[in-house]
Amino acid sequence: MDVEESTINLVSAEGDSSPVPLSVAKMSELVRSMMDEEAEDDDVKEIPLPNVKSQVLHKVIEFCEHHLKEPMTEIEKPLKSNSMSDVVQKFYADFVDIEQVLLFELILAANYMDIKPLLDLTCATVASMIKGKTPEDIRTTFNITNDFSPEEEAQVREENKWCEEA
Amino acid sequence: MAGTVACLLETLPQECFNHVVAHIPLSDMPKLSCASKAMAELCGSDNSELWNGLLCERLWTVDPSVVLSSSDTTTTTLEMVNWKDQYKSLVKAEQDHQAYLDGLRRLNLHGWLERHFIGQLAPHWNGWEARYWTWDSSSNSFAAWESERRRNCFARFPVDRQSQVRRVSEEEQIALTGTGASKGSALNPVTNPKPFVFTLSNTTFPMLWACRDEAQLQTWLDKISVTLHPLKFEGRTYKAPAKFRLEKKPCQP
Repeated sequence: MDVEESTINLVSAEGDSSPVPLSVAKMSELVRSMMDEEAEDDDVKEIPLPNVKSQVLHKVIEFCEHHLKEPMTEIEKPLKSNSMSDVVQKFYADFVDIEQVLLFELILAANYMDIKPLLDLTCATVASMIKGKTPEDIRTTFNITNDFSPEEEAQVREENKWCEEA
Repeated sequence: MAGTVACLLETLPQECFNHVVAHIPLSDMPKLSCASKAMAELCGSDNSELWNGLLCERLWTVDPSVVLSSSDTTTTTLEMVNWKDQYKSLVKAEQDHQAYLDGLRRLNLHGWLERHFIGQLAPHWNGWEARYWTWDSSSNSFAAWESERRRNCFARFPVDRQSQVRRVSEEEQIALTGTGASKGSALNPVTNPKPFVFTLSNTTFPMLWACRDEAQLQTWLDKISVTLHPLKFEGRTYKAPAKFRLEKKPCQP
């Protein structure tokens, strides 16, 4: 039997087990290194991911499965557009068209599981929500409380004046 | 996708926030810093240490010839004295899409990168982050990667026949890293000077490598001499014709 056709169970924080083809699971450097470390133990069939919720893990697996079929275009830095559909293929642009809570949980999961293309995609999405916005827009988008006093805000704006000359 | 929860952006771990920042055009950074105190802290509108680090990272994604005239070579870049000017140059480079040069070049890296001898983490000169160093024989340059696994190239350091490997004294370490250093970092040579630090001269950007023990350094030098070029170090002479030579410095106590 082809080793790549084998599956391994990824276990979420809630204890839910998701069978995943090895080729998909190994997109995570964390999983890959855990498997390499346990290479001599043929009984290793489960990888616990205590920092990743089931809902997030399902999204991660969806991403990895698709990435094997259609690798994501490399995202240029800095972003050239604030529309993700201008930057990556449609699947990936749709993939990150989600609630902020889930988007940020995906960032944390991608970072924890060490999946670079997913980390790039999710972080670029957050960056696209900042690109070209005013401070007020940014506050609204991310529900940021403006905790500057009027004097402090004036000072910050003054400090930033030199940037506007650029 | 308007936020409906407490600001998640402000609670991102620094490493993730840095990854977000890497995608944001420099011209938008000041606006982000105006959003809140936390954002100002993270983006530091007038914080030269933060900006030094940020601009250094950006500079490395840009073809240096785009933003540096022939007169501002190593020293100006290292010290980032005129970091506001650097910011303006880089904003323009980004707006002119010249900042994508390295991104495009990176696409080819898997094809012509040779990584086989350095293979260890070494501190970046200002102590900000560890890098994974490799030698790229096709371009005759050292490449600094985010890590062995993360194939994100931060910098390339072309070398030539005038380049010399030499030992860096503790005083020099402090002088070189006096600005832009993350003081709390264990990698920061200012707070954690290492006994075996050496540098390669005549490169676009100054580079420092450090080792915690001499044996590790000798192993590294053995590899570099065989693979790249012969050199001398602390009395050990390698037989092949010297392409680079080590400038001997007295050992620091």
